[in-house]
Amino acid sequence: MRLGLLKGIVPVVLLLAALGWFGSALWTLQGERAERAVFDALASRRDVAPPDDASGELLFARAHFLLARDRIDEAQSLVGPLVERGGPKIAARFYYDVGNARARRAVGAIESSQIDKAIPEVRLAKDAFRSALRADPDFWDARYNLDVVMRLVRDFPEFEGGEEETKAQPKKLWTDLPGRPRGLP
Amino acid sequence: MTRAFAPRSRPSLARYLAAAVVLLASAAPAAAQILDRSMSAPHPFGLLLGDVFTLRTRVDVAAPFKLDASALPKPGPVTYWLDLRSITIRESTTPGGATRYEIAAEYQTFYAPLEAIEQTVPSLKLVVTDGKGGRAEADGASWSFITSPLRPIAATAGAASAYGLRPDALPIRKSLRDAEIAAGAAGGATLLALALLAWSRAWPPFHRRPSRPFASAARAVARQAKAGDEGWRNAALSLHRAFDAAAGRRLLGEDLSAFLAGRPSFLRLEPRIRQFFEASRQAFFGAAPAVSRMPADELLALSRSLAAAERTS
Repeated sequence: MRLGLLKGIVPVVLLLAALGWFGSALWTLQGERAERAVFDALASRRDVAPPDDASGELLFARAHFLLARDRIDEAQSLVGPLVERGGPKIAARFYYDVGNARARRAVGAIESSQIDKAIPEVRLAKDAFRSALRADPDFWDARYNLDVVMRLVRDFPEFEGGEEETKAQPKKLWTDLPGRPRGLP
Repeated sequence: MTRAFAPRSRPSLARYLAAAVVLLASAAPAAAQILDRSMSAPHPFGLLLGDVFTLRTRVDVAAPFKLDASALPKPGPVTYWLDLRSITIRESTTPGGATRYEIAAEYQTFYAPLEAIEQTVPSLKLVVTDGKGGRAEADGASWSFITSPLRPIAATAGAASAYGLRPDALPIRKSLRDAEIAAGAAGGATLLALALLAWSRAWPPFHRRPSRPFASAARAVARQAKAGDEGWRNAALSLHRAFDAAAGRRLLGEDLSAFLAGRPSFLRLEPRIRQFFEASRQAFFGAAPAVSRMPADELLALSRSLAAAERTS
């Protein structure tokens, strides 16, 4: 009788389990399709906001879209959910792109001789590249760009934790960059 | 002076030495509680900006004393160029009965050198306590390494964009393949489970299963039983054919006991089966209208119970 009962119940239980699995798989597929649509819209330069429950990768795509257009503050408002959902690798790429956006601003300021504007941007870029390397120490592009911005404004022990760095004199700017003839050494 | 090294004066030298050791011990109590400390480190050269390295310090502490973990640095910036990523302490007992602590401190350097240069990681401060106010301190070893620049000072020819920044990290377009495969597999499993259920219940396309005569009989009864006296007879005949198929021969009312003895799952239905056989005998061979002995609803219920019992036999 026990075995008989089992024979009666097992097919029903199996069907319910398979239906549950099928439903969840369809749900996942649907979610990924929707994410893909937002991703493709961003990639084709349309300004689309991702849904609230977007994955880390999609949030990074949105942040990249914003950062490439110099909308750094908007991008940085995504940092909380992005780090939480994306894990260290995506967080590292996000911080790296933030650093690059800051560095581009700094370089623009230097080229128009607005050193006062450049220094805080360089500092923020350094912080961003450091955050990227903390999240993913094997991120070689972040190392390289951190080295580049480090040479724009050097770190010195006496500035540690102080406000002096933002008020630093223009001569603190490392001089291998502006005005140096490019191409030949 | 030379006399001091003569064999004759050895006892007094030993006394001096003993006094010196006592003096040392009282001046630096750490020597008594911290028995041994050593550090292992990776190669001290060729480190670059962003490299992670682990310094392992091993400390043996005499028995009542314990290492005070709260005195060790917390993960975070150590100096303006050095981060402590994590610090873990593993505790074990040495053969001599002392407590051995293995402290693994993982650092990351952010020093951007212009040329190969030596940098020093500050030493750990080791504090041991015995829980009763006794306390001793010692410094772990500090570690120096040579860190090298990533690129020369002069601008390199390969620097493409302004100031030679490496390009942005691009978002990765995620493939849907995994989700599609999962959905397909789940769909296939659902179809399989549905087929198994249909087979088990003898639903179409498995409704002609020879081992499920009562399932098809139940369907025939459901079609026919309500259609008056004639329908009842047809339904009863369908049910009889199912009993014949199940028994493997023509089954009469007298053979029921033998038939049920081999089918324990039908035993529960025995009174109703007997009632059906009696009603059918009256309907086919007796004078009374059969419907008065067993209503069509009851006949249908019996045929369904038989189909269910057949599945569990």
